[in-house]
Amino acid sequence: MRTPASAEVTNLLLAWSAGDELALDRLLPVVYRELHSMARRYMAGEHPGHTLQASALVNEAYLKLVDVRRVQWQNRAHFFGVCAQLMRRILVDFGRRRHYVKRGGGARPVMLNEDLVMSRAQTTNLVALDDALKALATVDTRRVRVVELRFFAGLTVEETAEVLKVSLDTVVRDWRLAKVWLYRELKKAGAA
Amino acid sequence: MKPARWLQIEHLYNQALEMEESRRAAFLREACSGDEELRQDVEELLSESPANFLEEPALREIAHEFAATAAPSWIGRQIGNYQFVSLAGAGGMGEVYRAHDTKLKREVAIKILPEEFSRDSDRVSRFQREAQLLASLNHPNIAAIYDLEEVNGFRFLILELVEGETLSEWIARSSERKGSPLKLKETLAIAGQIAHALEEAHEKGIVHRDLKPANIKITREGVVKVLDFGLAKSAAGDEANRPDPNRSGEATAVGSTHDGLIMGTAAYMSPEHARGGPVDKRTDIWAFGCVLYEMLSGHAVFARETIADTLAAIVEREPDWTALPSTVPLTVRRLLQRCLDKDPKRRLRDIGDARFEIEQLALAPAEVASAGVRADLKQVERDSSGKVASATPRRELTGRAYGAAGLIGLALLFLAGLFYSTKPSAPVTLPSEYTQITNFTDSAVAPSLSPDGRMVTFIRGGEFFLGPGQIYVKLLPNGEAMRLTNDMGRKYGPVFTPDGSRIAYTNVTNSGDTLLWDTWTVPVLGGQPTRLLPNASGLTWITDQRVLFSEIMAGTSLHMGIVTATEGRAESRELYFPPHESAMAHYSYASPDRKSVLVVEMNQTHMFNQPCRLLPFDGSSAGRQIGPPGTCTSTAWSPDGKWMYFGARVGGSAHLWRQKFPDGTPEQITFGPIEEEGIALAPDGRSLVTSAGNRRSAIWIHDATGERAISSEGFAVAPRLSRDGKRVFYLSVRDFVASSSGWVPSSAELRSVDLGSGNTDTVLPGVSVADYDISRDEKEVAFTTAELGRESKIWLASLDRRKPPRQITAGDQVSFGAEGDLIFRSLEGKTNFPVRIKKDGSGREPLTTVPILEKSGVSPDGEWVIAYSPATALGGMHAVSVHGGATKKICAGYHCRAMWSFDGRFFYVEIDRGTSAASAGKTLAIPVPAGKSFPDLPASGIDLAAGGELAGIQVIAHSSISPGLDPSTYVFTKTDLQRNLFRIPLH
Repeated sequence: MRTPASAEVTNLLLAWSAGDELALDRLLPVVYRELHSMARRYMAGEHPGHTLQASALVNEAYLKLVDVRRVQWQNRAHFFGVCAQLMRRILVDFGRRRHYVKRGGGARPVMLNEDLVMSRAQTTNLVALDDALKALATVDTRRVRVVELRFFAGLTVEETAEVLKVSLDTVVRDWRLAKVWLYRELKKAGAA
Repeated sequence: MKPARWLQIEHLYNQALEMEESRRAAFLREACSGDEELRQDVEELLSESPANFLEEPALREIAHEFAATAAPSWIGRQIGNYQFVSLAGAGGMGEVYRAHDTKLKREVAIKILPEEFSRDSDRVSRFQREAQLLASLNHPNIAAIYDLEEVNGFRFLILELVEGETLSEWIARSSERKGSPLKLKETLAIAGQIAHALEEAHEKGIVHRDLKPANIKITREGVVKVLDFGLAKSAAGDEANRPDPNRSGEATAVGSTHDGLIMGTAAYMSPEHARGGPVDKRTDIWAFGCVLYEMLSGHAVFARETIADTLAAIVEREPDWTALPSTVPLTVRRLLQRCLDKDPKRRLRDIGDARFEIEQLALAPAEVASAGVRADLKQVERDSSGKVASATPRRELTGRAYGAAGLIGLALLFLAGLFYSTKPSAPVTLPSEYTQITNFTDSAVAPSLSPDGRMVTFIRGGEFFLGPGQIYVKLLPNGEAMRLTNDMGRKYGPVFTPDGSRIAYTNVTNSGDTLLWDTWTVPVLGGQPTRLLPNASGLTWITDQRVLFSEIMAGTSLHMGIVTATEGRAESRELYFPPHESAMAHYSYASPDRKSVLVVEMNQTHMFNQPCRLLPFDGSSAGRQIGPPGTCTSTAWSPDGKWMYFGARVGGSAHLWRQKFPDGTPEQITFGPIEEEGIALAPDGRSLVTSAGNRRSAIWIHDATGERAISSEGFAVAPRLSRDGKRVFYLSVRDFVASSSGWVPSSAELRSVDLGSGNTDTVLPGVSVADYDISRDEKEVAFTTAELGRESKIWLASLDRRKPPRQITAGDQVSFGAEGDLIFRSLEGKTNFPVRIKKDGSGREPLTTVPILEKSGVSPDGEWVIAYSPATALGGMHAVSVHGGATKKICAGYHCRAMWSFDGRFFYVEIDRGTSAASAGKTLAIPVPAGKSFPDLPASGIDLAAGGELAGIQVIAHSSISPGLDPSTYVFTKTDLQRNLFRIPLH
């Protein structure tokens, strides 16, 4: 009870990255709640014309959730990788629920301000993207990692290169190809 | 799809992209060699233009939707006494609302704590307690936390509503004024208020932990309010250094930013925080540095594109100091450097130091307005009109009652001792509790403790002031004492630097004819000493970068006063110069609140013979004398500033005293036969370290039969061998004062011992003598009497006691000159001159117009007087002609005294005046050619560094000698100074 939750999150992250899928079930609610609050705080403070630091949310989540005392500084790359996968799970899950709501499913008690949602530009179909990534993962895991890091974790090309320990050129090429390939997959699925 | 296929696609796609579009089709046709599916696949990929697809991170893309899954709004609702008016800011799960308190009729800010939080009763009660502590923060620069309330199961934090812009907005708005002095002034005013707020909280043990521009507001009236004090910690809990997700509600609700700048937290995080290490007030000091830097430069010092880069910059990168406008003063730059030291141990320790530095800048507006990088030495200009003139009362008294002056002096001292020695009702110290720290057979003096109290530095083998000893350091309680210096400089006042890594001390050295009073430092772990500041003595730190020290006023020989400046001597400001231009204020100690300064000063004859002085730090007045009515030689403050401690000689013995600041009565706290000198208070104020022991000094004779002691008193000095070699005069000392020539008697009895019988005789019963000379015919004695705080007087008496002593004039250091003359040191106006006077008090005239510091021997014919002058016109030790003031240089510098044998056949030059057993000193005996007054000396005088290489000299291994007819016979003083350091608990 008194154990700092960040330590627990760290444990769960480690367990999950070591292949313990059950750890994710305990991890998701905590992280989801945190992300949610951060997103709302971010939205409330956003001013017109105010440029958001692209990866700020994910980065803040990382800071809040990971007990950095137990994470070697040089291993933060690895943790970014794990966090990126976590973000993918959470966001796709969110996308899935949004999907239900839009279709009037209402399976979960999520209150939604439709006006706000509709006012935004069209957003990526996260569920379709996740499916495409799963397909890609059967032949190429590195490009999946690149997409997770760039898109779900919001890392820059340089940071992605650092995490994956590959050159900048490689990341640029991987990203370019993964994007067109995923785009085409989503188009095929009528989701892009 | 198969991995192999994917590899083919990738390869072809990348290759095709690298060539001109027109050639791609042909290339693919050839490369696919009939694999039409492959060709089509690649062609298709090449034709896709995903535009912005995936270019914005997912969370950013859907943040609005995330945020839109909001709880129902509170606006317009009335909960308890609170009418919710509008959303003032969002704090994640806990929004901040502007509300009207209908009961107290005031506007407040309300943070609603999340439901999860309210459900955990443990956390609620803990937070309740901490909120109460935070609510105790009552400071104009801290946004108040009024209360934590519960209404209908919801918990609200009721806060002071602060209207105005945040510092982030201020920074954005004022960046166009970058570099203007107005902005600098405004910046410092804001920073000063932030520092005030932090200081108040730190004193209560509260750490902000999330200081950043977004958490600081500036009202329309210009009052700075720091928001969300301590909430990050109280919300996160004691063990957790960062907000944790299970408590994320409380963490974000109460520790959130007001403008939602999410990067905010990371950019102001200290390196130890970023690494997950323990967080204390030094984290706030770091954040304060970040905020100040951002105010000055317009951009956050470590902010980068991403948090990974930001954290890396915090941990690894030096701030870009070139981004600061050139108008930023050096003090502020160094303050920033101290705040942004990545090592918390070396970082500025106390936000109060920052507040103080900023206030000091406000006191020196010219410096702020001028180009700040300039760190040139401030030219201290002599302002004669601004100095208080000291009229020297010159009374020509004669025919006083026998010994009256001396007796009255003694009686006064005794009475003063009685009156002020009133013991405190309960003993402050107990001798049984003294713990010995050093165990030397010579002396350990001038103790000073490191900031953490774990090390002591001291001088070994010398005196507390200007002694010949060396600097030592010792880890307490049982570490080995380590010697750090090994040089000839006369040292005093060792102190640790604020970071405890070095020891600074005053090192007085000869440079040509003048003395350099410089501050040197030496690493605690050993190493080469280096000069820190020239013309700076008795230096102490009052903040990490501001020092208090003594400086010789430009254009004077030794008029020394107290100044404060940065370590680089910028922003120099005079605090106090003694009115008399030959007087020297040597030591100064700022009170913990830096509003007052205790000063130990020498009078115009270079003696510590007065009480300490208490000055206001702002230099608005010369303050007043304070402490026991005796000779103050050391002083200190208790860490809480409530007590002033003094080391003082009162009524003939040296002990420690203390007095409540500012107007208590001095009370003696140590007693007994062992004397204490020097005070170093432990950081907890519960004990002090002092140097305790006794001085012994005996008169010895050196002749054909060897060396033997001829005095039996505890402290005998100033021997003089009679012309026939059968009798030795000396002073049996009851009390001394410290002077620039070491301890000199202030009260002594003149005695003589018959070398044949060993019988001792008191020459002037009942007369308290400070120094003396015997006439050439050995029928008369000229002597000086000294009274505390008064001018010395010169008297003449017959050795057969037939006539009572009569006062000749005021002055000291008297000698017999040519027939009928006395030559002495006299205060004329503000300076000392060698003066001669007829025995009847007539014919008074200065021998030279050049001021002197010290007068020593007179030639047998009375034609020449040896005098030391620090003035450039007559630098070093000179012989001055009684007629016409012609001069002849004896040696450069100060550590040299000269005299003749009775018949003038030998000239004696003392070149190393030892004051301890470890350094007995050395005297050169130089034959004088017949018919001459002097040996052949180089025009530049004797080269002390070369040890006085001259033809025919003999070296006598003692100093302070009185010569016989030739160098085979002389009397000398053997000093035995045993002092060790003791720790004394205080009750």
